[in-house]
Amino acid sequence: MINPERIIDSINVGILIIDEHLTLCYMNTWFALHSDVNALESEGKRLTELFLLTTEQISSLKRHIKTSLTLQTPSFYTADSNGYLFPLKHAITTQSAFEHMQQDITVVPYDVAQKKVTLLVYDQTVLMEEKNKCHKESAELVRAMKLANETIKKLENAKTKLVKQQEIIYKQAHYDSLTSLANRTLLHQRLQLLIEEGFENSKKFGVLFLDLDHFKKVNDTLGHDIGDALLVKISKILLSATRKSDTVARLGGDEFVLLIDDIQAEETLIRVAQKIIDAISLPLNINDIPLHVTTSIGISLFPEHGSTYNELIKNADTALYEAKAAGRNVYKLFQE
Amino acid sequence: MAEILFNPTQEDTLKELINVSFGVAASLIGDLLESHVKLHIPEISTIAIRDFDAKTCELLGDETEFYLTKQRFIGSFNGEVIFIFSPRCANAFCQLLLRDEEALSEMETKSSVLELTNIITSACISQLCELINGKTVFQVPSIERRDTTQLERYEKIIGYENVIVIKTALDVEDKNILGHMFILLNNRMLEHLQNIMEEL
Amino acid sequence: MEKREKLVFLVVDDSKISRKWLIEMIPPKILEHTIVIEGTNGEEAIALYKEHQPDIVFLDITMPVIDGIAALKEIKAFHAEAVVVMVSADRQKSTQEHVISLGAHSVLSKPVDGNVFRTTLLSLVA
Repeated sequence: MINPERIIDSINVGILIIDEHLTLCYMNTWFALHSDVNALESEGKRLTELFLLTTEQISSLKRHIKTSLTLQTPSFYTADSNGYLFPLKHAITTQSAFEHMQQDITVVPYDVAQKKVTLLVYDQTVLMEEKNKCHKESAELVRAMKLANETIKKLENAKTKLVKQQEIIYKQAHYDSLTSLANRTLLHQRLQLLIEEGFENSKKFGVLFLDLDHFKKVNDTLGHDIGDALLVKISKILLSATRKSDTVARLGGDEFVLLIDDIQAEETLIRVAQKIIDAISLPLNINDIPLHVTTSIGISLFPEHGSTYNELIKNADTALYEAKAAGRNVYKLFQE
Repeated sequence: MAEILFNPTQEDTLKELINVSFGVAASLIGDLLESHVKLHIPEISTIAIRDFDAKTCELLGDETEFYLTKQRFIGSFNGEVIFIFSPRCANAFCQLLLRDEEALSEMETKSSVLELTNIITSACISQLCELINGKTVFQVPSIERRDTTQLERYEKIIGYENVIVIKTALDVEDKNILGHMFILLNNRMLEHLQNIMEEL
Repeated sequence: MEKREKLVFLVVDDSKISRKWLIEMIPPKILEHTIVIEGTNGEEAIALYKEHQPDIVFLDITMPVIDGIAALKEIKAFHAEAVVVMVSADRQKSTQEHVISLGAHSVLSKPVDGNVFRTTLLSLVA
């Protein structure tokens, strides 16, 4: 035989038996100790006389009792969503976030005919304390993550901006602002590269030095706007007369230099030069003004006419001078 | 997504049992609210557990946040009951239960929803348990607020293969409170239930 | 109650199992002198009532097409003397009072208790 009362009084759960009017019929030792109430003296008293319960707590308890008795099943309070029902001391000796013991309470039918229920009270303070800590930590984690993400975003934005600025700077340093053609710096780099490649692979390439005939007259008579528009037009003609792999550069004023890569013989260069002369000599229409311009071209060839930037440019320039002297609107190949 | 778990005869029995359970639950809820409660004829469907998250999203529609309650029942009849409610419906029920028109605290809303689901769960599971002549013990329920955009963050449900989905719509006063009940059963329990319903 | 060779009961419920459970509760001694007609919704209830003029109608409240309350009204309008026992899962007092005021003889709550059912039945066929 077992002695149930002994078990009930040594168990780590609060046990109360109450009726639907909240009159106390029984209180076990655990509950008496945690509530500082004398169990025997309290029997027959209302819970509302023994404990400070709010109106809402009283109606809630009555609802749970009704549910339990009507359905003859347990009805539950959880520490998670109710905190506590009875203002009991908790057993935590360190600093706690809770003033009172956090309770899970199960309301089970005890005697349906007499409308009595048993309340089983479980101390969940430690669990709730841990849960709170977890919540706090995860909230902090979420905050930190958010901050980190924002910082990453800012950095990415800054990086994008920097890349864009670098592109702009590179463009300003390497391209002509009026025509968007390569400038002297880029021309120098490309030519240097061609020379190196030429030596390595014994490849030929040509340098075309180009200067419009009587461009100064256009500027002087029609103004700089027309002059600039003409230069833009000329650069487009030059681009369409050459391959994508060729370099078309503007040195300044009306001087252009073209690098024609990967040629088998000087005939190719001559063909390109003639094509350009023909294309430019066609009637042009700049801002509704009909214009007729011509150009002269001087040609130097790698490796025959030089193996450095200066040599090749200087010799092409010399050939250009020859072309001008020969009456313009012609090309001349450099002659030693 | 729907998975047929019951034949028409079994389904008729299940529907009638749920209908009766809802009647019991509505009567008690009406008593607690001191108001007439209209419970609609329950709409019942069945799905496989793998479709649980997809079904949740489908039922919630545009709402992303929701309350989810869980309660296990163990014994010769065992399984788990899950409810989902939109925050709007949860708050509406809380206001009715606490007779309060003010904005209510998260804890008040949660405990009100648990009171509601406790009643419906008890009523339904008791009926089903009685049908199979089983014994069952209810475990402490829990409730949490979730977000459909972060479903992968929550622990996966294991141990069940089948879900009975029941739409629970209560009309109280001028409010319509809509929730969805999921009864999770493993294959053994489902088979048991099917056999008993077939024999009736 | 009108004298006929056999009693006629009309049992109306959209759930087949529910009708079966109810019919199974009729004591065999009464059942052998009874013809039981079954219907599945309020519309059928009205049509079957007019056709057979049963001695007792067992009528569910929540049903598709026409619900039990609308069917009750129509049956009572057709035949004020009709004996209609409402059988419903809706056990709220307000609902029960409402159907009584519409002329229902009594209301049985689902799940129907065998003893309550037999007492009601005996009082009607006595």
